[in-house]
Amino acid sequence: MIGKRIGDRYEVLNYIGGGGMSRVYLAHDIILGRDVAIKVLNYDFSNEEELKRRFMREALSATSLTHPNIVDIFDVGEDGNIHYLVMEYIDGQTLKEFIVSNGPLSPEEALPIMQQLVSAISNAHYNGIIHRDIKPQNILMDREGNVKITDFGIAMALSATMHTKTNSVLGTVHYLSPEQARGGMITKKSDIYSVGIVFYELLTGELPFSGESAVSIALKHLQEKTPSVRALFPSIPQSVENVILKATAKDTSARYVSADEMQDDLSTVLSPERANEERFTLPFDDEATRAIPAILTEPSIQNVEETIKHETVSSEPVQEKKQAEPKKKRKKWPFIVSSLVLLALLGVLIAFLPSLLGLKKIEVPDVSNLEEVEAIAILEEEGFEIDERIEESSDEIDIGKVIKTSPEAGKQRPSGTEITLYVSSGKELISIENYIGEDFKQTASILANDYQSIEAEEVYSDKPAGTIIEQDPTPGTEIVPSETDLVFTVSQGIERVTVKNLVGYSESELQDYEKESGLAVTIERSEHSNSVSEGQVISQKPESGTKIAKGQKVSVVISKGKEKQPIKHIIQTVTIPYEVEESVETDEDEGVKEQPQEQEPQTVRIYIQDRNHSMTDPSEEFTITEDQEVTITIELEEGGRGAYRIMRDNVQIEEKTFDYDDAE
Amino acid sequence: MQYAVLSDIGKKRTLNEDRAAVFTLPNGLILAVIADGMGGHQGGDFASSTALRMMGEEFEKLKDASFQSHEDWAEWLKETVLFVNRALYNYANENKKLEGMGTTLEAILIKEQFCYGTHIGDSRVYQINKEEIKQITTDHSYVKVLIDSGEITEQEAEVHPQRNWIIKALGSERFVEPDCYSLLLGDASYLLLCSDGLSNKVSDSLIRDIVLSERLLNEKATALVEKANQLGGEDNISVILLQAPAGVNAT
Repeated sequence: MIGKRIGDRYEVLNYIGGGGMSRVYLAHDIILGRDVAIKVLNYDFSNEEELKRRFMREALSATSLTHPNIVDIFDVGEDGNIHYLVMEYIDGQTLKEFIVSNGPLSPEEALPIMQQLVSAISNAHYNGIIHRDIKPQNILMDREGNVKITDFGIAMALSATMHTKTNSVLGTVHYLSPEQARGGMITKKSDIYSVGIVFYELLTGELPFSGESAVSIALKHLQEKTPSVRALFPSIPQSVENVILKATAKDTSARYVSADEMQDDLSTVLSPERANEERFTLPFDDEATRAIPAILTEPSIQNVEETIKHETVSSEPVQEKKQAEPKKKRKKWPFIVSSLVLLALLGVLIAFLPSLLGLKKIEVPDVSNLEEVEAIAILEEEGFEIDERIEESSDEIDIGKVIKTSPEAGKQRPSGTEITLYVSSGKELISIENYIGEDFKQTASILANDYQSIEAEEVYSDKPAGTIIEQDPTPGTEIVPSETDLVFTVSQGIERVTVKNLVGYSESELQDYEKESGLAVTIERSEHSNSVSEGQVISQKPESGTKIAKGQKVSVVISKGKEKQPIKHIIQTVTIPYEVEESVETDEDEGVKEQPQEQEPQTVRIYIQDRNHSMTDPSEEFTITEDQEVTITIELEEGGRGAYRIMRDNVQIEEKTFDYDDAE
Repeated sequence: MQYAVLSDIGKKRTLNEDRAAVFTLPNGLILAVIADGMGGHQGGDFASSTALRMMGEEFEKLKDASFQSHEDWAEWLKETVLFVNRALYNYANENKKLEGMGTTLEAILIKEQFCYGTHIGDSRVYQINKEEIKQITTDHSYVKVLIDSGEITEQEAEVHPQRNWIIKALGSERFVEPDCYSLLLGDASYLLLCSDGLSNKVSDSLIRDIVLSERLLNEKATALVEKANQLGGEDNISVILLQAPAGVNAT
């Protein structure tokens, strides 16, 4: 590919990178004399005409986008069986690479990146283009730190029609919106979700949902709440976390209405006025309100607060109000008309019926709070007939007693009129909602008036602090709230342990500490140490005093004891003189020649003290008949002392001692 | 044992990446295999055809086999599938162009009325008796997981853009764990192996009606494929229809 000319104008210079679907090259546009990036698709379209057309169409529409934070697409083409996109060349790295080497970022560092991204998305959305696959791998960062989104509108084009092994799309599902995971409609809000996940990753350096397979991650997007960035980094302002929570709300209607709204929110997110913002909570959904009828008014109060909070940016609540009002008006008129007609009819009936039929009117007696049998007896005695009995729950009237009648007590009715009895079925049973996963404080404040009592039992868990992890009664149990003690098991967060100073601990002491602290102690490596004796801890990570979650790892370095210095050798060359006899010395001239025969051998013993020898036995023993040179080698360990002694015929002729340091 | 095999390109594709075959041995053993390949370039085609060929070659070696227990037959089938998986995976690793290839695989080894099956991917095996049709295999598909976790309905799964995502495939990873099952073939009952080109298009009840209709076995297979084509034929369609001889009792 390199060196090749594509489309008669782009000379391919270098390979830049690539993913599963494409390879990207640096190329030179010889017509405009500029460097460009060329994305060559790995996909063979020869069997997929329809797919090819779709890809070309989407790529062409993406060429219409011009924005400082969107990688420009200059050209789309095919050359032989090569399909390519010509794009603006960005000298830099992907945002993924940037996060890996620089993450996590502070809110102040992350915010400008987010503002650029959201601005780009807003522009694309304005032009009717949804990205569908926003992820840091699709975002480039130039040397000045400007970010640009690439692959607008084309990223998912190829994935749809082929059989795909899900693990090959692992990179994509990390940022997948719930509606995409579910296969629902992809909207502009899907991009907002994904960019919310990117914000999470910028601030924490981690992904909010991870798992072994693409499927498990996709399910988490559908089922699990976005984890709190503040749980990891408590210094992040709540207002910043709120942006993530709102952008990544599972329900699209709870998300930002548009990228513009998100942009507005970002522009003030670090302002001092918002420093003490409350945590973003999702408005209650229909199911929740249905099951807790007693507190219907409270969520609506909450909604008003929500509205006020986002007044500057949100247009949705206003629209809702507009829609709601005309409905009410429309309903009112028919109601008034029909009740007027009814009243008139009733008046006529009351005035004329009795006289027409000649029936005597009786007052319906008040039988409320009487046992059903009793009530029936009284009513029948009065001359009424019992039409129907309807069971209704009631908080005031005990089970089995009459709540009311219809027609109600006090009304004048002809005898023989059929009366409907409403009999109490006791207090209303409701099926208790599932509050697991909700915030305890918030839930308790909402439910406080309905339940006899609400208690929290705090336990350590890996769920964020304050989250309800169990409830008693369990979800779905039929209960009367006002008679129920509701007990929530609430997470205190992960139990944290202060790491002890482990320096000097032996391995068995470490094992004890591991059991007692709940931390995982691992020996990272062993090192020599002059100050710490063998088998004991020299250093640890994290340092003592650090608070870490139970189950976390503490790694230690164990001493191998002192490092042994190399063995040194002291090599001495000594000449052992042969002691000549007196007589020979006098008769020098003659004696020289005869000396060899006349020389008495003298015994030499060499004693050595070093790491191999001791002075008790000679290390060498030999005889000499003339001066002789010997080489003595002394081996010393660190700190060792050595010596040699030379004896000739039991006379010490030389002795020397050495220190380790004497040696070279 | 009677059988019919049919693999059709469908109406939209220009390449048939499905493979289907029934192998037989003089000792009466039968091996039915369907593979639906995936992966760009020629990868899918290579994966399904290689898997089929290798299964056939290994099956050939059973002509003198005299396994005693049921476990031995089932074990042989599973081991063979794992062997083919390794071979495909290694091949893909050595050949850049085939990277990411893989295939679904339905393989059923039949010895008299005993059937031993392995299943990987979203091709399917159905058993059809006098009045009912039963899906033997569970799709290893993303949408199936979503259905099982209550996230989407069967209807939503049918139009899910990622309904082609499979969570297991032969040859795409170093290790694969096939689903293994065994069946008894009842009197005159049918076994149907098919690729998703059929099951995505033709409902279970319609499949049952066609299989139980008064036709020759070959015509039934043809009718199934034709039906899928009539309903769009976007994908390759493969079917293997096996019928147990009458008079065999599955008790």
